Amino acid sequence: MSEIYEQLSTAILEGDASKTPRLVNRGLKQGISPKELLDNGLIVGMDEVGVRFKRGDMFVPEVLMSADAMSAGMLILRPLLVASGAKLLGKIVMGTVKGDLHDIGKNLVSMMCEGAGFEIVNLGFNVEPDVFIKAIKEHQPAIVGMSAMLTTTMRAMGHTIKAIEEAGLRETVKVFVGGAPVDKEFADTIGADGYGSNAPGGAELAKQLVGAA
Amino acid sequence: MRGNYTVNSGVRFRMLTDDQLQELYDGVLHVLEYTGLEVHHEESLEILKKAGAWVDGNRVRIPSYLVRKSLELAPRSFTVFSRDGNPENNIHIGPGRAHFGPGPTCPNFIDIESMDRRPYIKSDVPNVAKVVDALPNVDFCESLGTVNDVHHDLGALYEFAGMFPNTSKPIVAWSYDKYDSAGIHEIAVAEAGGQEAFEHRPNYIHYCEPLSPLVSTGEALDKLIFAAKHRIPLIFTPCPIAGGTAPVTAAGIIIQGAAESWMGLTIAQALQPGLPFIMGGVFSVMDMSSMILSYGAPELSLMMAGLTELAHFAGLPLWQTGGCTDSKTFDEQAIIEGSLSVYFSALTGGDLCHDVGYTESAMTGSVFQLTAMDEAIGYARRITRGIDVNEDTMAVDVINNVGPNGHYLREEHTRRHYKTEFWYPNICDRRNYEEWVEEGKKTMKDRTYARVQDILSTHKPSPIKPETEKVIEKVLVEAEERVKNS
Amino acid sequence: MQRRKTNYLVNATPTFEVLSQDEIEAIYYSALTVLYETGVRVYAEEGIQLAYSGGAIIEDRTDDSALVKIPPWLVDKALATLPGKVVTRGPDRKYKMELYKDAITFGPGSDTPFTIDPYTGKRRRATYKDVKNFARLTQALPNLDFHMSLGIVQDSAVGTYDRWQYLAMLEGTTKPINITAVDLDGLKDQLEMAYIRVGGKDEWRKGPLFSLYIEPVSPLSHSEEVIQKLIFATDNEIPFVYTPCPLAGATAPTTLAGTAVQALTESLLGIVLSQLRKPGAPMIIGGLMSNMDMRTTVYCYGSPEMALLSAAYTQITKWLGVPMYETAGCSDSKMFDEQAAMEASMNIATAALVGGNMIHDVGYLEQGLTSSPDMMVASNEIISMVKRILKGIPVTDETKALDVIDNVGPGGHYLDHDHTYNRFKTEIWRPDLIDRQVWENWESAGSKTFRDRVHDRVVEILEAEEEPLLDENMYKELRRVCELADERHKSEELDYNMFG
Repeated sequence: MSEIYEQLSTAILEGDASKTPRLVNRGLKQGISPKELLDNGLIVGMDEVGVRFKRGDMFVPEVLMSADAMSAGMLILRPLLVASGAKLLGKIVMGTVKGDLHDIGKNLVSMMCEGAGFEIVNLGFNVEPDVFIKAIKEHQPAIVGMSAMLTTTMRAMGHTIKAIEEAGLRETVKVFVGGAPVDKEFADTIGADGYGSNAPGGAELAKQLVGAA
Repeated sequence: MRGNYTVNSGVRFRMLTDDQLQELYDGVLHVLEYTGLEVHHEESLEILKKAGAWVDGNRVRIPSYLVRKSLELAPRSFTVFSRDGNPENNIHIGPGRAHFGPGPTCPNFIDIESMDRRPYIKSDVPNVAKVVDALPNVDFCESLGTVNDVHHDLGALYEFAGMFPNTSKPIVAWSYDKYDSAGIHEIAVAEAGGQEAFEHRPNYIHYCEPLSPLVSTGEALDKLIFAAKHRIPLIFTPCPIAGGTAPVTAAGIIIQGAAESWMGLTIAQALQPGLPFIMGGVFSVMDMSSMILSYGAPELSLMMAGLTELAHFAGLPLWQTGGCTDSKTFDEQAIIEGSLSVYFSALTGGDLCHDVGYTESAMTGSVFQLTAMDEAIGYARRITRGIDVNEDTMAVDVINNVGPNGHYLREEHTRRHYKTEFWYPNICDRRNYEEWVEEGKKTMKDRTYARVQDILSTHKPSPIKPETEKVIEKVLVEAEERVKNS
Repeated sequence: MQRRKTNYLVNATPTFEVLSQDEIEAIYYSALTVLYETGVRVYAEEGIQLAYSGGAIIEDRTDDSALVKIPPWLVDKALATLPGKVVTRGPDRKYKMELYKDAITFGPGSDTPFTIDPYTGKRRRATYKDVKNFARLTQALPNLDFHMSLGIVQDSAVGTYDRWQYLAMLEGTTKPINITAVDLDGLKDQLEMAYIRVGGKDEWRKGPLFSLYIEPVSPLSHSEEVIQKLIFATDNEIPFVYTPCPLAGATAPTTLAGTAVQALTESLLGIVLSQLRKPGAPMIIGGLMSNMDMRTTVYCYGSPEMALLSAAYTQITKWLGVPMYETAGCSDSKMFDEQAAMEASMNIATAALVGGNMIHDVGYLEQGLTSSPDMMVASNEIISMVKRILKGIPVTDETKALDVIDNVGPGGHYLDHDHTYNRFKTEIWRPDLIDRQVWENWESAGSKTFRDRVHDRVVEILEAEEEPLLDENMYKELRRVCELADERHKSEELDYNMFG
């Protein structure tokens, strides 16, 4: 049993998106619960990825391959976990705010969060406040993530949070923000719940916001 | 697919045109033929006379045909081998290749633990060699100092004895006199497996210095002749000072300094045709207020670039200079000056660039400067490696697949190239502000210090043969005996 | 005696190249393929129509955008009318920024959210006063030829900060400025301010007071605001920089050649639109091209790839005959330290060697997020050193000094020779902040590091007493434009202060 966990975490670490689902299926056939495969296999692998990346021993493309492997495993596990009533990390609605076309940072955070086990609803760039609101209503995410690259569009983050408040949805979601000119102080000022200084930090923060880290 | 496609393998840099180099070259021949040099060495005078030079007392004038013949005999390309057979540490001297290493003979040293300036001592030698051995962009070894705590005639010998077991990168050996040279050679030959084996695969380079302007001293020629007789690759490197011991103009100092080197070349080739010969050296300006020879001046980079091109024009490799500074401490000036000279050295392909790690205008050696410069050399080498332009790297199909507003992070093309296309620093910090603060706001100085400590506590150079260890002991005992009696 | 030689080619300066002629062509023709076959997305009807009227193919329309594909002949046509020389002048008309093949000018970058406080050394958000101070530094530093704001004014209204930023710069410098604008309205206001400063449109024509920074987004995306600015600038004789910031490995191919292809595609769209709108409209292309550090995800401003790729791209712009917006004097370090010194030394040397024209971002730290007065002053010294090397090695009878060598002879010296005396002041570069004292003198003078001396200079410049550059009436008039803008845009602001 511990053998399959180790193989799974290794497959994640090596970013092997074809081996991971095979191992997940093998584990399920052996009668291991989806929850245990997730906790003792996939997540152990992703945690190690996080540690190695932070240490400078892993590179972004490798981390993304690991995230891809994780997603491939989750594709099988997610419905089973839902059926078993297990608590999942939930959804994140992500968008680069109105007026801003700089999308790469948000995409990177999205991929990292996906790798951490979240389901991502990617709204793209130049996202109007009401598009965020519509997505919150439709997807009922645990978290809303917003990105901005310019001080003028940072202002749009403030407007979007206010709009979410006015729509009566602020209490239903956590909000985290990021982007080059953004800092913790600003996040506090506009009433966000968190600020990620970079993509891996963003994924870590997302887990904290839902009480999973 | 296209035809007639010429690419630049690396970047291309030229200080001078061939027309200008021809003129400098003719200038050197002119000085050798009409002005001539003083040679304070009987054996050399004999050799020169026999070869066809015009000898008048100590003044030697060399007709240009003889200089050109000597240039013809010296190889442009050759290899200096690592002592342990590790091919990674061999130095292939030849067009388009720049190598780097420290210099010799600083009286002071920056203490490895306290970073304070103090006299250079014997126990510093193995540390310098270990750091050289570990740094990926440093290719040869010198000691960075003159040992102060042994008999003053034996400093060079103790340096070699301390360096040789602690690095398998080729050493450039400096010596006081021919006795040192003999001791050093005995050690190197023991490791190589005899004189003949050494001649086939030389594992160190010998270094000597004529005086500017236009004097070949007895000590320098003693060593030159020793090297020539034993077929030891030879550096003959003057150190002219523009405005002091040489003309203040770059063209003038280059001509004079080259003439000084080519006098040595002529003697060496007459004695040992085909001896690998590397011309030098340190060409810079005198600071007109402090009267020091500047190791950080932009003119150093300028003149050395011109000299390198002249050497290559004449078919010789060059002993370049860079990675050094006039700063008294490890600060931004030290890195600005060191980075610029290292970069221009890399651009010219100056074959062996020395004095990496010199601070305080060559008064103080520093492994911290050396280690920081290893990073600068890595940086410079990424630039000089240039850009590959072909169908794969131009990535038209990849751009088409990704399209407007997409990204490349997950592309197979990215995964295939990101490790080799980008340089990854060892000391430079690229984390974001928050993480940098979290780690204690370390400067490059802090990280360089940490890297040096890490190397010294973990790096294990490959060992020398046990019999060579015995030879080292014997050579040192004999030398101590000799100076005691003198 | 014949003194001047015939049939003799001289390098009056060193020469440097990254790409061969064939490689430049290969990149150009690949960019034409991308522009024709992949196309670029344009989010402005005005721009789409302009391209279509010139002969472009319009596909894949959405509510707000279309894919624009440009045939090669249209690019050729645009290049034929593109000026090779672009000039701006400062309010003090003696300060010129002349950009053409191999002409070298240096200046700062713009719009960093953070700055290093010159007195506390702390990183904080930039203010009006910082932006004015940076302009005063540019004014005082002899090796900076044009100015950009370095900081973003963040103690004004957010949506109109660009007017305040321009005012702060006009208060601090009379050198030419490269401005940024938050939107079209911001650009119009700043043009009005420039007319006030210089005395109207006719004076502007004698030398535009500013150039404009316009940034399309990589990959291959041109927003409405970008196209609006391009068209307004073209119509109003404002030279502009059309500069994507492709990030190799993230928003552009990992291979530097691929990033150059994509960046060129992006710039060519700007060239085609501007020349269709008004043949002969002055433009500058290029911009920040670098790689994402795959260990940290940061956008490198100090990497060797940045220096290398910018140099290669400069060669492409030379071949096209359009001025280049080069990048140097910047670093990924979080403070002015040895790393910042190393990265700036090599990127400044590279940009100067290749002949990058409008070399910007002097003073940037931390991937362009923080500006540093120390970095600016230190870069000024590095530029000075590099310029000495760029003077090359003249080889003449005079400089060869064969007779002087003969005259001095073996064992002599040159210290009191006329040849030395007449030339040492011009031959030997004189350091300003670089220190060459012997140990004892350095120690007794306080063992100051380079950083200490740089910092002393910063303070000295900032504390020097100066006559205001703007008289009271002009200041009021300029300020009025800013205040009116604040009034007009008041409703867009948040109802609390965004930056605490």
